Amino acid sequence: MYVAIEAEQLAKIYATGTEALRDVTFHVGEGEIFGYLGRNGGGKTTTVRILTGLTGATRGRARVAGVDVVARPEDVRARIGVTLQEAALDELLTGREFLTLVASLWGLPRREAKARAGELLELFDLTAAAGRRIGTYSGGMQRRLDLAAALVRRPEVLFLDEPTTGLDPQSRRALWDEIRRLRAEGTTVFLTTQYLEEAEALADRLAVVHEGRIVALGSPETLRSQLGGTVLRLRTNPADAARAASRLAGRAHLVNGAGTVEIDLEQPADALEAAAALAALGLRPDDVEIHRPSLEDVFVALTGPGAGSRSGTRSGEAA
Amino acid sequence: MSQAAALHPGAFGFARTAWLAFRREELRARRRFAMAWVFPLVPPVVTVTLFADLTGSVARLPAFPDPSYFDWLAAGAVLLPGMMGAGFTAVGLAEDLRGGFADRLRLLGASPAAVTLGRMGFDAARVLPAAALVLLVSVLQAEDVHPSVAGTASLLLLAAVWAMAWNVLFHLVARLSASPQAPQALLPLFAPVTFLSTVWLPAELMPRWAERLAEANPLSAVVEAARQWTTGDVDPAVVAGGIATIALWSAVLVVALAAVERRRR
Repeated sequence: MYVAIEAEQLAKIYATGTEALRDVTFHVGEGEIFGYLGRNGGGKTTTVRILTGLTGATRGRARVAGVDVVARPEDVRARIGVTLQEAALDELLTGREFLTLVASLWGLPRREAKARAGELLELFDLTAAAGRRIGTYSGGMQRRLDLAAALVRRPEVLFLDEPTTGLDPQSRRALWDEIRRLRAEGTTVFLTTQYLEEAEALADRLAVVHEGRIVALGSPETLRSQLGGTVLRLRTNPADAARAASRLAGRAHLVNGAGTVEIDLEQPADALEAAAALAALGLRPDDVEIHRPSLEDVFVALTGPGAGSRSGTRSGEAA
Repeated sequence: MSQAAALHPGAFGFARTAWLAFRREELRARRRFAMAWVFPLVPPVVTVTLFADLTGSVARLPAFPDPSYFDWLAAGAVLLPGMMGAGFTAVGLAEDLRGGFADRLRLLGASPAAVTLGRMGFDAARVLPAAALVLLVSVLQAEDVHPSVAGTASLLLLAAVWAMAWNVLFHLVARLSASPQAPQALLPLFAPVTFLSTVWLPAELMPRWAERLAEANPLSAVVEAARQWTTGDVDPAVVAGGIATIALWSAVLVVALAAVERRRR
């Protein structure tokens, strides 16, 4: 498979001494949606800025669409589309004026720039709002316009830096559909996000970056499997929980030493067998659920449970 | 070479980018009409009408060189729109830096120098109506201000070029701060800079300390160049001095601006 993005031991130390990235290495195949997860300040945006040539790496090597980012940043920019964390728009222009300007700056003659703007407005369902000032657009419309601007030149690789932050669920799902459509057309997508549900829904493979290091890399299923398999979880009184654990010894264990017992399931049918065994004991559980480790469980296990962002992120030290 | 550069290489690509940046500012100015067009117009017109009338008796001082205060003020007044209405595109630059559009421009391969030139070109263009009106008002009120067609064109060109030079300072502040408020906060700077120059009064009529500052003030050299065309008695050396002053002022600030831009990357 053609490698669309190669990052080899990327490191970034800002002038302030902040070490934003440490030896980050990953490859993204052509046509893949690659999810890049991390907490605020973890190094997601710094990675995007290096790969798009907006910021230099302190060490390491990166190639995008087969082109060295450091040696030929202009050639890289010719092959990529980028949406940054903030929708990079001009609120005083109309949607049509904005896209025409972007297409013109890209080098299209005026007539072609207008035509391309019209196509993109149609594609992103913004034609009705094309004559309105961007400042009057909803957050979802602004995000769609931002994405449209990134696609003016039909990029081989698309970088999306937290594209759905702040969107309502409907707008988020509409943007997901666009991302899937782009992948279906062969575009490689590098997606940073804090939404585990988003990564699960879209990404073929994921990297979890924490404090500037990649701490996990693989498919969502692979990452989930690292936390163990599916379990049947019962909540009952402590005595019954202990009896159940004893009856299914080797497959069951008590959780938190109280009235919750978990039974490992190797396959879905095992749930019926376990339930029959527990019913034979005459248990009266308060609650029963089949629990599959979520990506969120994986994320929290890898990056820690603490809330909030790492302090000290300053202007110019993009997270 | 990028696809954009391949389509529009060299000087043509640079000029096209500058034109697109100019055109964008023109579109933005339609939506901020008062700030873009009224702001550079009203204060200078008030200055050459009400202010000049109220303080006109200064012309009766024995050392005053002109027949009326309107005659003296005309040259400096033409330069005022560029100073009193400065910062329009600098505010836009700060908004671009803060909102991410500056990064988009870089990703599009747009030359920062071309974009800056286009922006400042718009700052120059938008002072022209105000400068023309101020000159007209001055001609109507003064006793001996009758610039030729070439003199009028030269005055307006000087006003536009000075507006660009003055706005480099605002761009520098916007670039350093990335705050739209910063260039706006710089607007009152026109007051000390003009008061300590020969815009309002001849240096000889100032207190000794102010006279020295006025003689060293770059704006005085530009005003004296403008005065060559309002009086109609053009001394090429004075005009060259004014142009050289603008060039030096601009060169210093542009070098500083480029250094800040490089550091940002």
